[in-house]
Amino acid sequence: MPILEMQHVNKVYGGVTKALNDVSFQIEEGEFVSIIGPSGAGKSTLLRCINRLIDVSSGVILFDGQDITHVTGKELRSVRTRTGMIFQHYNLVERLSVIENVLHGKLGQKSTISGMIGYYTEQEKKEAFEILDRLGLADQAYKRCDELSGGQKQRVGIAQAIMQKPRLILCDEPIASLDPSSSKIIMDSLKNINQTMNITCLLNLHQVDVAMNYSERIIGITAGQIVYDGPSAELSQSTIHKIYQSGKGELITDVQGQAV
Amino acid sequence: MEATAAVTQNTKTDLSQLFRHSRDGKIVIRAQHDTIGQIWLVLLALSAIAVLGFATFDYKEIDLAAALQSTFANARIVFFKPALTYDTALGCLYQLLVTFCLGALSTILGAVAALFLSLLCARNLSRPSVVNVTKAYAESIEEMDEGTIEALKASGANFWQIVCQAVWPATVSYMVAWTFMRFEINFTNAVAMGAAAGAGGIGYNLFMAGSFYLDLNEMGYLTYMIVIAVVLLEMLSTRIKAKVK
Repeated sequence: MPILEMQHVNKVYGGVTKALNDVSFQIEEGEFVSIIGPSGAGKSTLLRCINRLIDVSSGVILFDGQDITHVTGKELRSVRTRTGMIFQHYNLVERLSVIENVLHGKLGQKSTISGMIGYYTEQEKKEAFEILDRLGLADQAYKRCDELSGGQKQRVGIAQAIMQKPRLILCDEPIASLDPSSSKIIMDSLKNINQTMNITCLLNLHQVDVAMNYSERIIGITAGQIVYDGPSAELSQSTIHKIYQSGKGELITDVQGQAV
Repeated sequence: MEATAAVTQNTKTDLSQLFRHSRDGKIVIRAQHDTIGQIWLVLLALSAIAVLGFATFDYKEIDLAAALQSTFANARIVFFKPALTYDTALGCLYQLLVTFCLGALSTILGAVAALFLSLLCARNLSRPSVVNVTKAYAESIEEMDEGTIEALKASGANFWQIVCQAVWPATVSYMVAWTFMRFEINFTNAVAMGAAAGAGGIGYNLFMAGSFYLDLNEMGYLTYMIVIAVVLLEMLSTRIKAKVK
């Protein structure tokens, strides 16, 4: 059974703009899938439909066999706790400590009151330390997040997502604001948790070469429609141009291709 | 590189060495340079001052019910039966114009000064030493990042958890700075109210010294007292604003 299944999903903004147009695909448990496509193609909308930050206009979303298209309240919270999300701009609470931000991953599983006052059990705190250690950040636990570099902040973001013990992690442009070295650390970390913890990863990426290097499967989106869904090894130059609706020599990857 | 190594090797260092413990032996999760506690202290102190103010007023055995009643009666006269006895309408309009001109003059002077100061204070234009004074203040006005709220929402946190865990820590310094600004303004307003309306406080004494006893020595003494108080208040609030950033 696939962990995620999208069936003919449409998202229309304001009655005219079609952000998603009849999107259907399945993700098996443990897969590491990258979504590529030009800015504004609907990649972010697609990810946000999966954890219901955005409601779809029509179609069905099955998560872990359950129809989550219209769930609300407790059920919606439960879906969200099982789905981690990582953002381009990290979206941490900068004034709080690293460890507090990691523990935020547990909020969805806590009572309102203990979440409000930030009460966590000793077990949860130890767990948060272990996750930070996994990402090489345990010694930074008591720093405030605004003292960290971009790459470190993104690792805190990943730690927070892992803290949820999710089945699926959605990554919205996780390395778009990072330098090449930090980008590698982040991608390696994601790949690592995918392989060792069997957490399914679905990523939006702008870097086609990174997507091809790290994922077995790539989904290409153009103007809200899936134009490619298959192994990254079979992604041809002409398909890439089709995804980005560009001519020969118009993409940065073309330049790299010539240089090598 | 070291981080990559940490990820792949998953080194089993003794994590408990890194734990910080509170007095009851529990693991601390607050940041090393935590300011939220200090902010609570400031808010508590302000509340204490407010309560103290109410408690130490000289109520002169006023009957609350009667006082409320006459307040409403007075309000009725003021709002529903306006009339002139000592002034002429034209005279009032002239005085209104004078006040308006004073306001305009101070606004223009203030705007020129503010423009000049803002150029000095802008971080991208000036040396850090000048900036330091206003930095804390400017930073706290930075708007709350919507993404933080989205992130917690995505992890399943509910409304009140998001308010307490993200909105509050992100905006509390702004609130404290704002509160202190109001406090300063209200203090000077209170001086003016004391003078103009006989509401009590040092402003009333100043008014009596200046207009009733015509004692310029006492007026000078009181003026210096107020100036010193305002400067002290300003220094205190600048310090607090710098601390809570």
